[in-house]
Amino acid sequence: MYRDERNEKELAISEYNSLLAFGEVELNKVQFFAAPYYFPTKDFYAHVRMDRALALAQTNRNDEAIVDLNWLIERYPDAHAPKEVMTGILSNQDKYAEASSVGLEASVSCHKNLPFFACENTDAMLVYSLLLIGKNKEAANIGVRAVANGQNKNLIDKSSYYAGLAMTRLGNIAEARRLISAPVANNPKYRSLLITQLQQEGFYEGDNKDEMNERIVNALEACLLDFECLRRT
Amino acid sequence: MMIKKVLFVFASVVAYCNVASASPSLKECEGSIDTRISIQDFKSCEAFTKNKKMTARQKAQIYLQLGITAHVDQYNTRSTIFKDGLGMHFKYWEKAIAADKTFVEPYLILAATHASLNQMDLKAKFLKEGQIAFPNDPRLDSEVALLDASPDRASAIQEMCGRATANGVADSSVFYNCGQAYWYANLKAESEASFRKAAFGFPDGQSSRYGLIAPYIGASTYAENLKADGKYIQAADFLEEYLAFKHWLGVNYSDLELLGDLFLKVGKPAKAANAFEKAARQTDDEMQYSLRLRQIIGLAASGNNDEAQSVSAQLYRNATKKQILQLQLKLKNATQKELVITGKFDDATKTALMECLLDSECFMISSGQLL
Repeated sequence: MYRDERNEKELAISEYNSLLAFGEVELNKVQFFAAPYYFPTKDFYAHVRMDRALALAQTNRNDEAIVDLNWLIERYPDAHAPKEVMTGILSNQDKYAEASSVGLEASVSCHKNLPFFACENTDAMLVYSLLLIGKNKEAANIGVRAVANGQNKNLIDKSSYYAGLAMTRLGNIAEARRLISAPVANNPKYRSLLITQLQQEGFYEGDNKDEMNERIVNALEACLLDFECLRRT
Repeated sequence: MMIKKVLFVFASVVAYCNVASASPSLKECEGSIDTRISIQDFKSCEAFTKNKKMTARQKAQIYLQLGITAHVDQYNTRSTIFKDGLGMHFKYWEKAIAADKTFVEPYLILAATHASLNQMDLKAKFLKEGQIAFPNDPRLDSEVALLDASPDRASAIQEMCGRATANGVADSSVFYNCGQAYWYANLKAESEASFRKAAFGFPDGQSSRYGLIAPYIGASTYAENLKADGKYIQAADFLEEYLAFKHWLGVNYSDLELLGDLFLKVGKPAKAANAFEKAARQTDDEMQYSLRLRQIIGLAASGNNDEAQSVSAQLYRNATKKQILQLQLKLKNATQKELVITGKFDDATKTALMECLLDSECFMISSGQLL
């Protein structure tokens, strides 16, 4: 875990492998402190597999990560963490329908067992994958709830931006304006995403690294009124 | 009587079949600079190349024609006659060169076709090989002069183009090539003379060679050269003279568009409006918008407000919602800060557009964006 936190992922995976080689029975004799909101179980073997799955996913060894995650999901169907990581992998593989299905289960489990802030990442990923498969109403609802109750600024921006895109597709321009404007004004990542889209649609001439300015606000307004503009994102 | 009738019908069918499947003559298969063989005659003409009595030139001419037919078929109709697929035309043209090395056409066609595929190394290869076989061919000389033209090669270009344009050349492309080669070699006076000869020295309607290689005039290329050098007035004068010579509507809309832009740059907005109007009449809806918009700018800048309003009303009556949104956005970003973006060509937008076109500050800010 020390190596994992130092971002020495391959070395960390190797250490996890060595640990897991002791077997489930031996490892479950270990007493340890489990973080209360991420993967709250006293099963040390499962914890190591969870950490290994995360490290594998972060090093793009997705097939190996999925083996661990499937085992964890079967063993702990009510835990949101393995499903959250699985959602991320499936999204990265452009399997948005599967991602949103797993993501929805993760979100339900999470909100059932844990405080809201522990579920923000799950929800933000879910909004994105639901949007991409055209489930705009669900994406918008989960996004609005995440914006209203969230604490993590980056995750609120993510949920807000993608929920705003879902709102444009639902024809709710006023809500879309509100949800898109905030992350675009505050967060360079979402400003850049929006500017790129505005440029492609012929509404903005400038750089996608531009600071927030009036022309972006005007261009967003024009884009929101154009039926196609943000629907192609 | 009955037997006679049956025999007559049979004889008629045989006669009809003979006419319907009549093989092309050798002369038809050789073709000419103005004609090419049809796809139906391909196999029959190919059979002639196996005839040992053919002269080298006859074989080469037939191979040239087969290549042209394959080329046209490949890019136009895509019939299934050529099972070997792409590249068949090149093989026939190379066979034409092999059959008769004293036949210039295959070199020119190979070079032009490779150039159209952006295969410039192969274009250069065939031109240089052709020039070795035909040291005094004006088309090859002018093409080679244009290859890698630069000030360092000025004397070689002068020599080749001097030779190429010395005698009565019947192809404007030779003068165009040399005009452009002289320009790159920084020989501006020679360039102008050569471009002028290409633009004004040939009547309309030069036919393309085998329907493939159209003689190029390149008046707009010379105007673009002058524009790139900042010589807007000269560019506008040259293009105006050329278009008057070509009787305006007989020319490409893009030439008129270039002229309109040049007139706007040199402060002749009324003439610009006229050029854009003529260009707009020649082109499709997509270009219409941008051309009509510039026509309106020209009209407004020349004080012809009523017509500017009339054209803009007509333009935006037919505009898409997106085009109106883009216009409103640009007006708002320029100086019309109070304008509300609605996606409709409402009274406020009409007023803002006219105010912007008549206001030098708004015009300066938005003209780059409006277009």
